[in-house]
Amino acid sequence: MPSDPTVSPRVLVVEDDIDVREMLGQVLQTEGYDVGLAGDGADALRRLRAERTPQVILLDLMMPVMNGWQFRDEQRRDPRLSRIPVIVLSGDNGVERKAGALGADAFLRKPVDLDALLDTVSRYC
Amino acid sequence: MSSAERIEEHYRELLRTVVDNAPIVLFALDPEGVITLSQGRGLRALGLESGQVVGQSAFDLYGDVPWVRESLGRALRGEEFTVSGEVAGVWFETRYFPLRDPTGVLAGTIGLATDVTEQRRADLRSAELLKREHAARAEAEESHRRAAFLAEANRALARSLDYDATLHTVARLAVTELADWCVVDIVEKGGTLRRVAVVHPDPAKAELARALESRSPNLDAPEGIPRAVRSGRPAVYQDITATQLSPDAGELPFGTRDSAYLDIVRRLGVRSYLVVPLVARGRTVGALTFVRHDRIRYEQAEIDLAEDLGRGAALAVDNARLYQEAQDAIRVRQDFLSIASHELKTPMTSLRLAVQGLRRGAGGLAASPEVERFAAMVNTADRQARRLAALIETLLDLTRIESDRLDLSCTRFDLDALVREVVDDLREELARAGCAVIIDASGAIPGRWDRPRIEQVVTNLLANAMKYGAGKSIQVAVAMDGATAALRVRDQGIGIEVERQASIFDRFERAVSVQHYGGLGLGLYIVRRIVEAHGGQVRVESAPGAGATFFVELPCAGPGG
Repeated sequence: MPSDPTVSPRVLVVEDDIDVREMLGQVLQTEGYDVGLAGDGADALRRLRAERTPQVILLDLMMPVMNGWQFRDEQRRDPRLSRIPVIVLSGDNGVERKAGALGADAFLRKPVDLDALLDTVSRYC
Repeated sequence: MSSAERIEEHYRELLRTVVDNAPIVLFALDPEGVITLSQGRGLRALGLESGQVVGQSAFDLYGDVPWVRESLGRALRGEEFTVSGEVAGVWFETRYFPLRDPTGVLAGTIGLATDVTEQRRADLRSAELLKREHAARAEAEESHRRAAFLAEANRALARSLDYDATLHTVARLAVTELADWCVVDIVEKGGTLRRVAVVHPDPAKAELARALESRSPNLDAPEGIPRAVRSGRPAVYQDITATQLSPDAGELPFGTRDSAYLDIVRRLGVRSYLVVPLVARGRTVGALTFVRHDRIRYEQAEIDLAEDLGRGAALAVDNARLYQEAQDAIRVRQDFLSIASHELKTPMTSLRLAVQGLRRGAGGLAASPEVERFAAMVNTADRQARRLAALIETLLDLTRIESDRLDLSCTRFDLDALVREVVDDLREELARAGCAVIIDASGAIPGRWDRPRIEQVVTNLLANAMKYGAGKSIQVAVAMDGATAALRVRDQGIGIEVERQASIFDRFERAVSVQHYGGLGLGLYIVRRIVEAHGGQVRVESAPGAGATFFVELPCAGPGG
């Protein structure tokens, strides 16, 4: 649960599949998070620059327009964004290795367990 | 007549009798060649009697036989020599001695001719026999050489499944044995010919031969390679003339009027050529073409040899194609499974989140019979979603294992602790199956293994025990045996017949019918693949009705350790 009772911690969900994105948003909102939703890396960068800075980013890897790797490159290049923790969320079996290569803070394997999701997200909020 | 004269007369008579009955001709000639003596039974072979031709000239009688005329001349010049030759079908070996008067003046010649016809016939017979023996030996050597050639060719054919390269080797072998140059064509899937190789041993002509490589004949052509391919029988063309190689010739032994093609063929040299089709399982898969530029024709023995070579080559091509098709089919299936699994994971993710969200929400509602029903339904949905997710995982595991992408990442951990964790994770399923788990362990079992994979091994073995031994307890034992960790999972289920025990670790295998027990039949197969990838082994001990015990042994040092 969020540590600051006055302002809800924000999570940015970057995921191309609309159902997965919406569902992640629903369960996180139910837990009291402020959730931003982005359909690809480029969309995520726009929101990061225009909206409230999130405490953590949930990042899918395989996405159209700008994938997870390209997003990480851009994020790390921008000093205002580079420190935001990233949790990689992927169905790829090499997700652990890929998350390591991307310098991500944590990883979750799809299909994700709700408890594991909430547990991991709460560590950064 | 004095007694001395009587004795002399007696001996002369005796001598005449001997000469008359010996198979010889004793004759004397005067310096002019007139016969003065002619005695001996040998004369009968010439149709003569003793004394019959005395007074006649030997030159008149036998002067038309060149060797006789020549030897008479030598003898009358005083030479002493032996000569042999044939007169009127009779072979004589004749020895000439000069005849001199008491003063030493040459007075003619004496000849002693022996009829050697019989002996000569015997000699001829043995010479003939000898010749036949030589021929037989040469033939045996030849067939031995051909057998060796075929054996070498078949070895080359068996060496690899890359049939283009293999057929090149065979063509090179054939060039020394059967041809001056050689062409290999393959029938492609679409029914067209593809030229695999043109082999010419003369480096000066190698480039010309390469120019022919890009020109496969049209399969509709009436003659040449297309004929052999269509009929499935050898086609032989001998004594080809320059006019036959012209584009406007009536007969087209190469089945083409392409003047550039014919020009290359002419420059490479051709007098005769032989095409053997490559036939395997009743289908023509290609053709070997042997070309000679000298006057040697293709004999039946060589056609037979070429056909033998063709059969071996056809089998190699066929095997290589079957292998390739099998590989392609496997790859297509792998790709399909991989894509399908990824596609399944995405909806699975939202489905599981939704169901878990509902379940969580139901926990906060005030208790009522309706809420309880609602909670039970959500629980079932959650369980089934998890089961579906596990099946998708299994499918993905299979694709990885099948494509040998099971790259392990090993870390050091305690197997005993891992087993306890897995049992704890499965407590709900175990409770539902009515299986109590008794863990028998004597302490930490440290080793270097791939943790998620070993978790999978333990999970699959427990799932198997629950499936076939529902309602009965499961014993799990972990122990260290030297440098090996030993895991034992014992159920009290239906057991496995001895003859089925070896195959239960294979893909899609199960010991009982799928109607009674669900699942993909992959659990134990995945167990075996993971254990083997770690350098360990898995086996089962069981009897029908008496449960089953699975033994897993893992080297503590990890794979390759």
